[in-house]
Amino acid sequence: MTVSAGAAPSFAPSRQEAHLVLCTVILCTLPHFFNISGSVILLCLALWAYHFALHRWSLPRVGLMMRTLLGVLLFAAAIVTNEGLTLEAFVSLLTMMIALKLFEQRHQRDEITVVILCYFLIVSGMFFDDSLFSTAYIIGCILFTTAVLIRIQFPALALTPALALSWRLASRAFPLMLLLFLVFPRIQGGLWGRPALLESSTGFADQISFGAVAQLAVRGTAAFRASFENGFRPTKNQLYWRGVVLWDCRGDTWKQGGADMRPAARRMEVPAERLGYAVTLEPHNQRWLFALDLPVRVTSQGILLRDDFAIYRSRPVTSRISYQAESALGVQSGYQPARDDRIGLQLPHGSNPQARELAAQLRRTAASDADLVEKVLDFYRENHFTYSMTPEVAPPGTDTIDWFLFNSRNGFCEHFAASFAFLMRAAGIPARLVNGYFGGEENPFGGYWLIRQSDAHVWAEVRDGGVWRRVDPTLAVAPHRGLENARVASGAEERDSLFSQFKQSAVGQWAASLFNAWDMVNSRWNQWVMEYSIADQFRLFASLGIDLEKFRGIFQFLLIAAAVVGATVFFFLTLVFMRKTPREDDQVGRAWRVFREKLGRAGVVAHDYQGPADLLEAVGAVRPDLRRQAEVIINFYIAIRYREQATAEMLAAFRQAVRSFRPGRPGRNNGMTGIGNGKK
Amino acid sequence: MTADQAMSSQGASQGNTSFARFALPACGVRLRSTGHGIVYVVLLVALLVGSINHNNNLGYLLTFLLSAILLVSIVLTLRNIRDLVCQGHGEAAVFAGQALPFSLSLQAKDGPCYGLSLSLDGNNWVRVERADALPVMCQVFMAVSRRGRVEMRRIFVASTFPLGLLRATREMPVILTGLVYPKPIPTHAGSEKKTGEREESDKLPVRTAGHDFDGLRPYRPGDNPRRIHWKSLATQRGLFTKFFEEDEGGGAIFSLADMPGKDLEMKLGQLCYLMLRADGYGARYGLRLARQLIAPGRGLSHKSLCLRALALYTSS
Repeated sequence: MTVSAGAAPSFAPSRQEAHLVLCTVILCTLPHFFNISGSVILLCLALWAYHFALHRWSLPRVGLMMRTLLGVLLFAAAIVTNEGLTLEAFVSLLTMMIALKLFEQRHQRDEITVVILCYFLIVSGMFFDDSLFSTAYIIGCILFTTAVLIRIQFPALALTPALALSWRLASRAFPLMLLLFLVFPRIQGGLWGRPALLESSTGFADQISFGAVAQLAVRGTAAFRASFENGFRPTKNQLYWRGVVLWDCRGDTWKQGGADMRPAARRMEVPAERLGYAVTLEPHNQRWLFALDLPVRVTSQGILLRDDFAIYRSRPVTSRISYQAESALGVQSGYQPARDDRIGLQLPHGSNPQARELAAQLRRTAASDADLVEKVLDFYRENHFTYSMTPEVAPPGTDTIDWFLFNSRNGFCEHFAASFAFLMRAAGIPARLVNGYFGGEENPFGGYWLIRQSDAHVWAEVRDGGVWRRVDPTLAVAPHRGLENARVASGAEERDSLFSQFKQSAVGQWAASLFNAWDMVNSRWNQWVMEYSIADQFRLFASLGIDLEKFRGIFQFLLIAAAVVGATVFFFLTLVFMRKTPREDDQVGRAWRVFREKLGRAGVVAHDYQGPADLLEAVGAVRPDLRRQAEVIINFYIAIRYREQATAEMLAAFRQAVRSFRPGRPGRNNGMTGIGNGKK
Repeated sequence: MTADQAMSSQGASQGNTSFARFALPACGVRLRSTGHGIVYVVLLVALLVGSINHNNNLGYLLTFLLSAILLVSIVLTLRNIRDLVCQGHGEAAVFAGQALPFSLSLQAKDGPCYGLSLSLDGNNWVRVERADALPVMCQVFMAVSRRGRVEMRRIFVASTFPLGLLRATREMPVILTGLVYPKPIPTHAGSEKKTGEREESDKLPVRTAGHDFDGLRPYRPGDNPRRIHWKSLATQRGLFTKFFEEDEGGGAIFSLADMPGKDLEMKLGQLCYLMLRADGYGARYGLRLARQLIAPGRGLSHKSLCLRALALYTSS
């Protein structure tokens, strides 16, 4: 046992404690390394290293002046390295302040403050990544942080028992957490505007540009997942996921152009069968959604299906959303001459003369529009165009489409689609580009399709009579683009083949199925936990027989929810705290307690330290009139408890005796004796 | 096993039935937040607002996890101070103006308890890092200014276990007894002569060494260091104590009635001073307080007898 007097005047954390705190800080900061800039990471590493060395080799401590100066510098660094008050800026600020606070440890409370701030830091990871792995890591960190918090305040507990205690706390907290999670009222739309998360945006833009490197296409992260109704399994070339429609040609750049002015699509008579499916879209901070070509109906809040069949949402997708959609495969969107004629043919003046010349030449030889399209595709096929994710960039000052068509002849979907659409427009055929995703990978475990960023694709649509016909010039050149995704096609040829070989091998297939299983688990986690919404809450309460829909007013709902939460917490606390200390699972003990309580009401206070015989004496002293009755019960008790003579009859007699023991109220001569009933 | 045996064994398992020991029901607990608890709650509110704003389910999940951990920790906090048994040991004794150290043992009946703070006045806390089924001893202090008997019937016990975010305080019944001697007040007042021996009042206490020196005897533990015969130690003959014929008789008697002034506390303080001085010199001394007479003597038990008499003296 250690006894120390009061608060220690000077505080010197032990090396082990200091290292534990440092360890907590590092564990909680690590996941944020993906979110904060490199300079902040370097600063953090430097501060940690010095802190470690400080305790290892007793280097000089950092003084107040130095800390203040460093604090100002770090604050400036956090603001400068981030654009404005984003969450990233907040996290880098928090990270650095914690790293700095490590040096200020004059009291134990400074250490505790650091550890509590670590909770904040690790939980703020929720804004950036809510995958299952990340959740598990965060909860693990919370457990560790709790253990360290216990350990540094209660040195009698080593780290391992502290970890066990922290697990005990958390495991008892889980049911309450779950309950609160399910019943806490969800408010749709949040309280105020959400700062956009730069990191989680996919970079899928509403414009394409020739100069841009196809960074997006090599990223393997998930864009969205789709599961089809009735076990439908689409073929690869049915999987054109429509995103943004680009109308505005500026030479080497295509933009949406007047995107907001287009009206909603008219309800159309769809001859083909409709295909229903659910999409779970990862946040990309843009307003558009994706659906299979050609979307007919999308059910989600604040959705506009425009007449070029791009789907827009009233607010950007800043968190993962799910929606139901219906598409008619193989149906083409209608051509609206009134609007589409004007902007479907628009071209910038004077640029790319060679391409215009080629278009005019082909126009002269082509019998029809359809023939012209074929001729242009033949042009790509016959002139040894090659597909590459890293094409040569046109020298500055040259016309980029001319350069692509007649010099480099090497590029990816954007180059093919954009040059094709340019030629079409130059030849007088209305054309537009569609930016979206092509393909997807089926997850055999989850029965859904995973569409990655690397499946991003651009194709063209040209007027064909009264409809817009989809033409994918990339497939003319690289048919394998239709079979494998861009990730495979990316990079050098050797890598390509190596990767293909790996994919073919047993290990590769095993890894692929492992990945699929993991993705399925994550997807279910997202579906069931991370997307738990107000609608799910309504359903949950409805299944319990409570119709929340009746209470339209949000305040009423809030009030009810608050009452439910309050009552739950209260119930929980009562349940845990008011449990009687001794666990009486035997009938003898219970009857004995009843007897003692009856005696207490009669004025004989039974103390814990009194044995049965002492109690009898006390009864005799305080209430002689009860002595005879009490003696019977007490002798029964002694016989049952200590002489091991407990038969069923004795037990019954004992309980009967206790039941029929009815002492009167205490007389005036039996005041409470004894000092210690503990109540003050 | 007979009933009597059973009862005695039960008595043993519950400890002796001394009235200084009590089992504690869980009542009268005060729970309040520490500074860090407030920081933690502010953090929770911030996380909740963030989760609502971003409609972030992971945020909700983690915020509720942290809240639930806080709630569950209350259970442990209360349990940590609930199942404690506290027992006072012995009688503490100090002079007025000093801190009275009460010895007590702390026992956790139901699993170990951590980080307990004990205090008698609510200001000065003594920390016991761990209490377990085997009693641990500790000392709590209380500043005392008046002589007499002190009896504390309750002690505060507080704990912030496990997270340090909430502090639970409760009173535990305990019987702690202490004795406060009067504060010694320097004086030149004299002593009552016992049997008409030498006049000693102005040079008291008289060092009796030199008179009736009777030789040396082997050192016994407890002998006054002033009487050790250092010469024999220096000549490597061993440790010897000087022995005086006069040791077994005579000695001064300090009387309350001889003290000048009217303030009783003052006079007792002065008596205490004289007595301690005599004790320091190893002289024999006695004490007369009104009708009570303590015959001259020396040694530790004699000293505490006299001090106790001074502490408990009432003029009536």
